Amino acid sequence: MHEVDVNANVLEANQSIALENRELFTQKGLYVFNLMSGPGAGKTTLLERTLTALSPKVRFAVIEGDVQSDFDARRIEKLGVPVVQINTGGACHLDARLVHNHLSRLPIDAVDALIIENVGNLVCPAEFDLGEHDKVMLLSVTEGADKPRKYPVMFHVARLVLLTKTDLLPYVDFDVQAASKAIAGLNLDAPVIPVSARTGDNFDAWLGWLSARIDRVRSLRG
Amino acid sequence: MHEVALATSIIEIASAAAARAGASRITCVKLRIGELTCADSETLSFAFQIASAGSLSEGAALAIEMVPVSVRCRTCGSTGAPEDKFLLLCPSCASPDVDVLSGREIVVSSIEAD
Repeated sequence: MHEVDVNANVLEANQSIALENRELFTQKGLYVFNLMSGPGAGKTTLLERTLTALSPKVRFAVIEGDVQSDFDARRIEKLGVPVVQINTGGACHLDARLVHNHLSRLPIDAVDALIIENVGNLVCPAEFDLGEHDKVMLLSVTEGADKPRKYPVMFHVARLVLLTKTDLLPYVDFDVQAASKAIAGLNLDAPVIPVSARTGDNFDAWLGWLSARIDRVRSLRG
Repeated sequence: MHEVALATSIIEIASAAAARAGASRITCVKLRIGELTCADSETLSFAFQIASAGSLSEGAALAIEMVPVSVRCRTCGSTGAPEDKFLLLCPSCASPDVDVLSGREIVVSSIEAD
């Protein structure tokens, strides 16, 4: 019996495909963000309002990740936005290879931004780089302000945190200040924007942030 | 839940290393897992046991070493382990403005093979 040194990063295979994806996206001037949250935080509703507000000035495409069903893709399709549904069939996250393999089904040369809606899960998607430029995270006020401390890793990697469903604040015990503080304690660099995708309250703050990121990547087109 | 994906990747890496070394059987796979990752070692061991069937890693033990979290402070420059491994504050000045030095890795460090 002998010992063989290996020293290999287990996520290396995913990481190298993610790097390829990111290079491709940046070279095309295509801004890509990975939308992550627990199930039911309002990712698809946020997308619907975002796509409606910014199209056709910004041309979008969407990848929908779910364990099963094409409910979300059908909602996006209704808006006339190109969309592909990836069913992971049990896996709790999307990975870079899955994204890479489905890119050919989207008109990525004719869009300005690609949104990847990850599988609803507050744990696993944090570990898998898809090649996106930013990870945008949703925390809905119905989930509770303690979630950042309970699921910290997701908050560590987010570039922006949206507190969603703020129209429900009068009916739930959610302390926006406490949640924002808890998030800042985990990730000093991520701004926190409270929004309601149902009423549109404060939605311009999110759209402004997003538009600036889209412009930034567009300026890098090779 | 993503432990199955990790286990599959670990088995691929270990089997490739064994093949390169001309070994025909792996008896142990040594792994380093950062405490900041979401990988659960018990679930991972179970997934490894099942996913390794029929590979060079079948029957191999999985030896997991947990890697503690360490940070470097961007405010005062000191390095060390934060008091609360998930609330990443500088252990000297309590600034939250820190870089993570270790705790995020999932690495196959070595294998024992025949």
